[in-house]
Amino acid sequence: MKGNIIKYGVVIALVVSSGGVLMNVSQQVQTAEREVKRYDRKLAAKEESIRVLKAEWAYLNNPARLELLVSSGLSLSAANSMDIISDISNDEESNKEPSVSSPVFAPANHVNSAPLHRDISYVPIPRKSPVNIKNANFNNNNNGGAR
Amino acid sequence: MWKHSRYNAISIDGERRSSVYMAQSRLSILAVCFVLAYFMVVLRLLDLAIIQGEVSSYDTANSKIEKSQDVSAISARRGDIYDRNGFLLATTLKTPSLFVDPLLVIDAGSLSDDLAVIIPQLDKSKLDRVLHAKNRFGWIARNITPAQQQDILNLGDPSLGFEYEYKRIYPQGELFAHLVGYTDRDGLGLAGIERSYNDVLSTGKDVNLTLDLRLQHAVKRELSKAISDFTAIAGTGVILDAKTGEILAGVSLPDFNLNTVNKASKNQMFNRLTLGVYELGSMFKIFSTAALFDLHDVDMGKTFDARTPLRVGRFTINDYHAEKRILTVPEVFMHSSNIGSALMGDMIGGEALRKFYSDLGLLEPMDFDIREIGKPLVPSIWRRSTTLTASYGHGLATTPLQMSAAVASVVNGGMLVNPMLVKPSNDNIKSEMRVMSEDTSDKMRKLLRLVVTKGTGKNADVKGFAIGGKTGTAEKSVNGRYDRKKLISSFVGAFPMDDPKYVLMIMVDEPKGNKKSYGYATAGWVAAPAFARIVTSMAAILGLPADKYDPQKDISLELLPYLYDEKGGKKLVSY
Repeated sequence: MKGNIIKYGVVIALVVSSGGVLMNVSQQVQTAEREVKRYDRKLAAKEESIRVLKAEWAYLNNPARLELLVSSGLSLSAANSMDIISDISNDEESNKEPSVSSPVFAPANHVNSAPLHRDISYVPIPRKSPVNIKNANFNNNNNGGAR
Repeated sequence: MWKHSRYNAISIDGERRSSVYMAQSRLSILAVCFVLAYFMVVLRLLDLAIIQGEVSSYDTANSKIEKSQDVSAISARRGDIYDRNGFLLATTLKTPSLFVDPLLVIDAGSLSDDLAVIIPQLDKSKLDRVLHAKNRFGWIARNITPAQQQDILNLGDPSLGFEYEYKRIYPQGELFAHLVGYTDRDGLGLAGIERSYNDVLSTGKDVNLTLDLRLQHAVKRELSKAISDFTAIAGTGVILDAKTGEILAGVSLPDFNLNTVNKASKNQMFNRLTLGVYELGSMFKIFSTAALFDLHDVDMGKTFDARTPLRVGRFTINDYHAEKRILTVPEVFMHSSNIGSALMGDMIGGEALRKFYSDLGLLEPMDFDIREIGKPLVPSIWRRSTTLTASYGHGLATTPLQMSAAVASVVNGGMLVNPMLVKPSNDNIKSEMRVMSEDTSDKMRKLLRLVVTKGTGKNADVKGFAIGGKTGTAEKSVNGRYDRKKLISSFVGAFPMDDPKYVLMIMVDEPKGNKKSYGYATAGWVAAPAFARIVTSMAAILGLPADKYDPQKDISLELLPYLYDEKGGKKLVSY
């Protein structure tokens, strides 16, 4: 009899616990499904707003509009037919020694050591400002008046 | 429960005892089963009522929005249209439309005031009528913007709701009006690519065109400048790849905004590039001269007597830029002599000339990517007079696109060019059909270059590029008579002339001379400068180098020995 009680006890415990596990799993599945649904909705909303933004970007990049902006905001003009050449290193003018006089505040050795960039995409990195910039007199008008 | 039964049981001994015990244990197993069953019911109740209850109530509340927002619920989204560089030309967006349930309106006055602020274009009296209606549904505004939707959501009015629907958006507005085309409200293509590629687009696939947004804008800008400078009524312009026939730009003016098609007039919607047929005049001299070279063994020195007007039946053929002397082939071509070309036509013969035009695709409607295609006007009976006039483009009307494609076939080495807007999936789109010999094409390139260096097309020249082309000035036929005041001025050209890559054509309808052109409204003054401006823009946009052209090796220099001065002496025209 005692053996039977243990036997039943074990069976019931197993049934209850497996039921519990099953329910837990089903809960987890449902939570995950809800999560998936939520992400799907979010994704659809994001995709839709990406489409809207793309359309707006295309609209803002309308060449007529850009042309208007460039003409009003930048001091650039359209390129001439002779402005584009096939290879810049073959161009005689760019091969000549630069005839530009050295900048006012840059020390002379800077100009000599600076590599001559033929690559048009080269953007000069701003250098440390010269030390004597504090002492330099910018106010030429005043000076002239005093003289 | 079984414990309980155990202590209160009547004690029985012997055989019976075991049978009672058995009955007891069976009962208890049964009892346990019932308990478990009830336990499960309780659990399931908990699950449904507490854990899932929260979610399902959320689901019900949102099911309506979800249903209408669900992409598949409204039918597949129409595919996008892009240019050759991936710029968006047409897309479909899901836009909200605002409706009201008038029964739920609390304060119609303040609601209509609020809505008028958010959506300024609302008609106030119409809005009030909708808000006070006795039904349960009324549209307030269709296809509102996301920002407006947000403002309306912020109002928090329970009577307002949104329905979502797809709307076709054309971010470039007017720029590609005639080629991209438009759809109806239900997303069915009605014109242009939208119509001819409706089957592809409606399954959600994107279409990539051969057009280039930047070149399209450049052509439109310069064409509209030509139209306004010469107070013309219309115009069209096209850029073709000379070898493959890909259309890089195609403009027809006046145009219309694709986003507001219902406001466009018939005149704006008319596609002058592919649907309009025009007598384009002297451009046909390109083809008659090519036919002469291709069918007869003649060289550049062959002469034609252009001293007196030619009389054929009731026609008199005159020269516009009259030279009144005997002309060589290059001279006929560069001075655009009608008499000379007519004599060439006579030499070629009617049937041969007709076949040559036909091989170039000038006499039949084109097979093209959009369906708005004009049928060329060709005389039904081809008499001798027809041959003579047809050799300089009189009495034949074609679409400008056909004309530029035929010119591309002439200059690219003699292979037939079929214009296209959608690149086929396989890269092999080089033409296989030869329409003239390479030698003929070579000669024609020299002649076309000569027109720009010395002849009627000087204004089309751009420094740094070997441009060749031909002017065409034709009188418009009004009620069966040619009107001398109403002209069609056009220029067709290609560059670089030693191996043409691009073919361009500009046509301006009814230009009037201005001060700058000394009152002239002919092609050399109207269309040729616009052509030059477009080439200049193209050079900057496509990065075409100007130092590839060497004026010392210009192909037209070879023709100089065939040019004579007015007195007939064999002298070189100074270069």
